[in-house]
Amino acid sequence: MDRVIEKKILRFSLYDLVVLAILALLVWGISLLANRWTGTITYQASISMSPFALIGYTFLSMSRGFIAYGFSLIFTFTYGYLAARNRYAERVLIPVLDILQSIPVLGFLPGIVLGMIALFPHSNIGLELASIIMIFTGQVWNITFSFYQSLKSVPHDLTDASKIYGLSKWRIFWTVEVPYSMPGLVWNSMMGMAGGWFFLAVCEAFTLEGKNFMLPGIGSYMAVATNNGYVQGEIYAILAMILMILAIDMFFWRPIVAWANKFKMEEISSDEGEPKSFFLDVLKNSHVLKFFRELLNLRKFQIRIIRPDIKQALPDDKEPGKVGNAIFYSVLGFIAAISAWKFATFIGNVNFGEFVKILSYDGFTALRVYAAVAISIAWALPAGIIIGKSQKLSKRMQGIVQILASFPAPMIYPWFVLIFPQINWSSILLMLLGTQWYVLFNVIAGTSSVPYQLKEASKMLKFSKKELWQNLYIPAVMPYLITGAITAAGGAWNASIVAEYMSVNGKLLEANGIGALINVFTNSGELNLMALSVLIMSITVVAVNRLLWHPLQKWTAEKFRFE
Amino acid sequence: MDTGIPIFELRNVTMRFKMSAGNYLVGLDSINLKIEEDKVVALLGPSGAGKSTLLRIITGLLKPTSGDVYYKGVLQKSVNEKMAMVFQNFALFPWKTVSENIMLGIKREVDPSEAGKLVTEAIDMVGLEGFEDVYPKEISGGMKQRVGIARALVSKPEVLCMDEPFSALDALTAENLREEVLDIWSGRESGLSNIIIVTHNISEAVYMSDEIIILASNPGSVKSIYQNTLPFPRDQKSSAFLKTVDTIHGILTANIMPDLPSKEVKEKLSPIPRASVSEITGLLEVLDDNKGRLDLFDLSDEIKRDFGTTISIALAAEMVGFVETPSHDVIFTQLGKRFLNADVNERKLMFKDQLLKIPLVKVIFDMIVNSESGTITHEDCENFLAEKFPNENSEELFETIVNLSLYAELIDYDSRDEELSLISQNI
Repeated sequence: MDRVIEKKILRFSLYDLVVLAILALLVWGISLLANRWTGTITYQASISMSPFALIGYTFLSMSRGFIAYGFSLIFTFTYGYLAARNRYAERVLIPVLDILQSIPVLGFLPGIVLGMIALFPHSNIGLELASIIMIFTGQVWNITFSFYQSLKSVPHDLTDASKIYGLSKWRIFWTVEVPYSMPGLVWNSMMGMAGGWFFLAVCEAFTLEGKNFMLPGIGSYMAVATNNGYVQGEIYAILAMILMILAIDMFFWRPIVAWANKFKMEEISSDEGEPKSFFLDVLKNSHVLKFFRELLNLRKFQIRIIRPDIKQALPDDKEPGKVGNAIFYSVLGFIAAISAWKFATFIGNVNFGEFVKILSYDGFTALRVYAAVAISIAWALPAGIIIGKSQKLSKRMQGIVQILASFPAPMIYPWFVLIFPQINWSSILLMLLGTQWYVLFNVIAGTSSVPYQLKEASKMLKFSKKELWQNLYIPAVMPYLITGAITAAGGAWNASIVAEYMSVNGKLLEANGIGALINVFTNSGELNLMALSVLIMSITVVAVNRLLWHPLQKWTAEKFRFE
Repeated sequence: MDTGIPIFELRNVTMRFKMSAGNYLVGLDSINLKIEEDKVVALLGPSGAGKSTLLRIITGLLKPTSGDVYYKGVLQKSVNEKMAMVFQNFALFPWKTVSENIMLGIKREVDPSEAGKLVTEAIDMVGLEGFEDVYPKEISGGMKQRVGIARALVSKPEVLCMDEPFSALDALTAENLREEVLDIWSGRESGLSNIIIVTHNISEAVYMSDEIIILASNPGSVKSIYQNTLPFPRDQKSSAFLKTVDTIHGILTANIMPDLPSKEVKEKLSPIPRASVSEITGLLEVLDDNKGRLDLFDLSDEIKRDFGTTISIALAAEMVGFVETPSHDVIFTQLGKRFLNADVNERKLMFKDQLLKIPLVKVIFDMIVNSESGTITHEDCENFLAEKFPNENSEELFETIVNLSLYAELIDYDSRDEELSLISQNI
């Protein structure tokens, strides 16, 4: 009996120790952050190459990522909700989101940086916010799309029931709509966070109108190390990045995934075993947190008693009338005309030669992007099927692939460029590094969705290995493959910004492509040309999606879906 | 034709499944079975008896944990070439048309023109003319299963294995297809020697088969083999048919619900059959509507559950003392009657008293009382159950116990910490 008690106490103190250590680390980090934010403005922070300085830099980069994620959530909740619940807003917001998604991070850079510095001319807050918003543009779009789609598919009986109980829209949002969207939200948040790290270096070290900007962080540390050819520093930065990603995965995502599992709408619980999180266990068993949890529960309870919801939500499901439509479209047309005119005057007199150059470079980049997608499919289709076929293997690989995918590929670009110095060709490889995972993920998911009975039927029909792939696996993964390819292509377009232009060992490498062109125009401050390039690139992405990918996606989803 | 060698034979076939935490569930326990040629055989049993598992072992889809399968006297090592299978949910390839799906059943060495002829023949046999170029999602369930049957027959198998082939169809369609399958079999154009059909429907087994293999669960084992000699065509309304159904029914219930002296049942530590409070209450309501007494068979009809589920619910109701089950009837006890007439709170109190009389619940209750912290974890409890009842699914058993105890306000379960504790008023 005594032994049992001893064990209990030991467990209690161990868990609490972990939690307290993390709290201490957080306090230190916040003081670091406060120091940085309240400091007077320094456009070009001097970056120390000491590995110990890197600890602080890692924390600063991480805080930017998390604050950006906070913005992403706020944006997602408002934008996604408006788009899903207001039919006029939907018709504008969703196409706009599609376009925003296709704009590379540098497309936002001048506006954000100049605007923020104008708002906070004397402290670092402006610069920090600019960097955070740029990271935000790398994270947010998919999260918002996912939330919008979940909201559109909330079962009517759920919302009807809450209306009958007289819940306000605010309460319905938090008790029905957000929980319902949680699984998709969590998954896309993980992918979004990874997307944000992808452009970290660009967001922390950039040149605008010939002026260099530098914010202390892993990204800028890496940029300086690469530019100076300081290989040791590059390795330190990569290690710091890996550690940061692993830590975020373990202390942030895993507990959230395990927790979000309870929101899955399933009639039958699956046998696959629930996601486990060591850290969630620690949190659950820590008495410190138990105290807060109880406190929180108590609070919630009180609020519920104090605020009975008497006010009834009025249904707003009226069909839009003809008059409504007429007003809506004329307002829309007016706004569109004004912005087109404004944009045209801003771009100004671009001479024909430059226009042709931008167009042809856009074409070169398109070739690279689709070459990268083709290579991704060539290897990830068979590999994904092999992994997805075996439950054991896919469970084991999932974690590994996820970590690999969330590592920002641009950090190892310099090494690849040293091996393959022809950047016109090697940029294909660089795009591939970042985007092949989307194809792999989707193929694995598609393969594991194959119904068990069809696998058994294939065995009974004595399929050869080739026939099994031909008749079962390849058709079954088609819809997933297309979705993966669309995401991969979108990612590759954005990645052209970092894949076609970089400075390594003090040398500038530039490919013939629109990604490099946008860099050049940003650096030189030819903002009208930059805006034109970004516009052309967005139009290309959106047009290819609309004309090629979406019809293909619809067709495969129709033909190859299981009932 | 009769060579004396059985078409297949199972020797000591045992199947165990790995469960959580190194526990095993015995699915099938040393099955010995011989099937003669030219017979339709039904594998009949309640859910969980391992019917489908047994069928998959016969076809070679599953390798048993131990034991051997012989086909015509030869040890079977992989999927049997001479067998074809029809699945409960059809297992059609949605991206292939009806004729393309059937084409998949043809052996690779057959040349294309011959293959086309075979497909046409098969389509003809099951009556799918005109549907050749339609995709499966565009046709009804009955038509889909016809495709499934045609795909199985086109390979000219000796044995046709059917895994609950009609349970996903409506009653009329099922009736119709049963007859057609028998016609195909007796027509002999198909070249079929045997049909093995897995079912939990007694009439279906009696209607179709020459031999009914009755399985019992926990662990799955052969309880009895019934030779069905009713002449074809069989009339489901005839008294001979109904008598056969009744006999089989008696065998099933006798094996699953042995008439042990009630004292013995009440003192032995035995698992609680899977049932929920609302199912037990519902069963009592149905009994009430039928003058307090119903035959198990009619009961399963009345509550529209398969036989195995009905038995589980009845046995659980018996454990809490609300019904008795002499032979294969279910009757109200005084207590059951009182329970039904009581209000919600009285019901809970009665349920609690009765639950505490079940040895297994009492043991778990005492485990919690005697523990240091006043709680036991889900894992500990499940491991205890797995150890005590190696043939039971400990996860399901745990759920059943927790759900019943929660209703009775006997035990509290915190699903966040996964811990069982006592409700304060019970301490």
